[in-house]
Amino acid sequence: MDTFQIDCRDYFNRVHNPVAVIDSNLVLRFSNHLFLEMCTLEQVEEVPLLEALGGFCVDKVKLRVFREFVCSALRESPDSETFLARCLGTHRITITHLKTESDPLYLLQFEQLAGSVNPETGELLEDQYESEERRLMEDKLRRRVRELSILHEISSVLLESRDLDHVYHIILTGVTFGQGLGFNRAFLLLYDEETRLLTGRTAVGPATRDEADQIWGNLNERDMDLQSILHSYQVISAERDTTINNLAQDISIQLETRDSEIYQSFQHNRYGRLQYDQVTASEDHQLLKSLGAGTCWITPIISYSNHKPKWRGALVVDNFITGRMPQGEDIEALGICGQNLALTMERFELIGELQVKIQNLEELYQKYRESSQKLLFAEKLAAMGKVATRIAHEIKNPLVSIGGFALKLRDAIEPEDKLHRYATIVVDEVRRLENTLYSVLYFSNLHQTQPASFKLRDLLDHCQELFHDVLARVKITLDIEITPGVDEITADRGQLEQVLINLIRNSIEAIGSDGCITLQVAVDRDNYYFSITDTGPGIDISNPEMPFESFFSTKATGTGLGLTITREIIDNHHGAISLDNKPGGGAEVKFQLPKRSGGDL
Amino acid sequence: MKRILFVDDDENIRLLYEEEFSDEGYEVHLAESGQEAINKVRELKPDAVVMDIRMPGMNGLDAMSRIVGEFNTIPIVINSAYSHYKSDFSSWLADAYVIKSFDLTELKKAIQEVLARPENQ
Repeated sequence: MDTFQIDCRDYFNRVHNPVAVIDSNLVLRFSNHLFLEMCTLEQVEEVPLLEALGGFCVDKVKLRVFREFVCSALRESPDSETFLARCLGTHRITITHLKTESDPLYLLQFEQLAGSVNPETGELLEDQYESEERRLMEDKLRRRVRELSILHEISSVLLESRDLDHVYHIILTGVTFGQGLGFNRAFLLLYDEETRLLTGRTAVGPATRDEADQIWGNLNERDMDLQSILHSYQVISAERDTTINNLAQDISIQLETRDSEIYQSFQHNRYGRLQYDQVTASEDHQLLKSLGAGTCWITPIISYSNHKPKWRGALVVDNFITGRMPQGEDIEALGICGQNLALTMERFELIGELQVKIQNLEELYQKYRESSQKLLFAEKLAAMGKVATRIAHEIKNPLVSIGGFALKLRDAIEPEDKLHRYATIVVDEVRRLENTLYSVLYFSNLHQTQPASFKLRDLLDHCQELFHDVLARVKITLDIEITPGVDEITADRGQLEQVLINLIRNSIEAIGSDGCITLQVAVDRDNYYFSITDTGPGIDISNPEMPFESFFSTKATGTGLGLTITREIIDNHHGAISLDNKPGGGAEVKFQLPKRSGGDL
Repeated sequence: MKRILFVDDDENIRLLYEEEFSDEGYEVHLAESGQEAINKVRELKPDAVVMDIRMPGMNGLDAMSRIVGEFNTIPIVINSAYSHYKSDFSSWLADAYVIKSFDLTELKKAIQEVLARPENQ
């Protein structure tokens, strides 16, 4: 130290400018008389530099600029030989790191600006001062631009991303990457509003110091920049260490204490600094303990919808390896990352909701298409109905004459006569035509339903009576089984009768002769359930819709409208019908009708 | 011999009814329109009227309500190609409703039934 002091003194006496030596705590260690004069000081040693300069530089703003410069110079590159000079109003200051064996010392050289000596060049002096200010500003701007470009890169990758885990990884990588914000480790915690739990989701960074060397070494070897790291998510994620993620996933903190730093950062949507010896709330301690860090910074992830904040989670970073103190800009950029993440999470949520809505819309569209097809079909039917009614009307009366007189002819001819057979053919064909006509006329008037309440039992009895003679002739029994509770129904009685007639007639025709038809009726709170089974040969159900189509018939004398009419009626009553074969043989028709289907008929 | 008035605008059908129901032993009278039916009912006082509905001029339902208004004891059988007039309130005045067919079995049955009712004896 003595040698150094002597060397210094010798040097100090030789220079013509104010010089001083400070230590890393910004305390004056040595200075020359020019410096003392400049600062109007008497004592040289152990005075804080800023206090000393207070006498020299009364301008508080300039003093602040100077302090920031010295602090950032010492912090940013403590090992470099010489720092860039800065201007402090009347003086340019150059800081040089003195290579001493003990504590680091820094030599400050003050060079009076030429302009300041001559009052006539006062303007020049101002200019130079301003240019120094500008340079400071430019430096700040450059740093800002770098951070913004990082944020921009992150944002652009985020926009392309379709996977939320990928998004998390991008953000955390940007926060930890050296060219990014340069934090050692970054953790993503997600918040559950119901349980008020903040739980770790994922993390990026080394779990231990050894790992830090390994990971950062790998990245350096590959010489990857942020862009390529962000784009090679797969590679990175495959190599991602699980230790740090396990550490992250073990984090689970219940937010209870309102004055905890974590809670406050959420409450005021600002960053929080958690330092082990300063925090008091158990949550804050718990977080630091989980991370194994002495200090960490937290920025909340909050999104707003309808001006209401939604706490989504938090980004937590630390520098547990390097111990570096982040600067204001780093923290600010971290906050922007948090906001970015909030927006992206919201976007994903909206996309999810949108997808559900799109799916709903698609289903609705499908339903719309189906119903519009039904409508088209109904319109066609209605048009067909009009034409059919007209034609039927024109044909009906001649048919009565043709059939009636053919019948008279037939009865007048001896059965052995060939002409008797011919007349019979005419009669049979007219009968078939008349049935078809009747169905067509009936069909075209189906929409005129007239619902009324009546006892279902009465209708069933009426049907049994209707078929009594026919059934006896073909030796078919019709069993009607009614469960208790079957009572009144509101429906178009005539149409429901038509349904039962059609189905019973179908069964009779399917059986031919000798068999059994069972009509069962059951009931629950809202519906009546009908089932008609027969002992016939069953039906071809390879296309279950086919039997319900118009003019489909398997019978030589069928009109092909029976089941179409049946279904039309049941549809009009908001019921449902299905056809099937019984396991033991025979066909089974089931249909259900609401107890009160008259409301909107 | 029971006197039946058949009302239908179709000439061939009227002929068919005349032939068929004469053979059945009825005294058959014919009318081709609603108005003619009313006139003939006033003139003949038939035991029953068989009425078509769709006819040019006055339709069967209107004619029927006029007849019932004047002679509420004469039974009327509606004989129409259409079943949906069953739900028409004015058709409820009729004593029977038969879907028109070349096969006259149903119609014959209906006529017998209405004539057999004690109030029509």
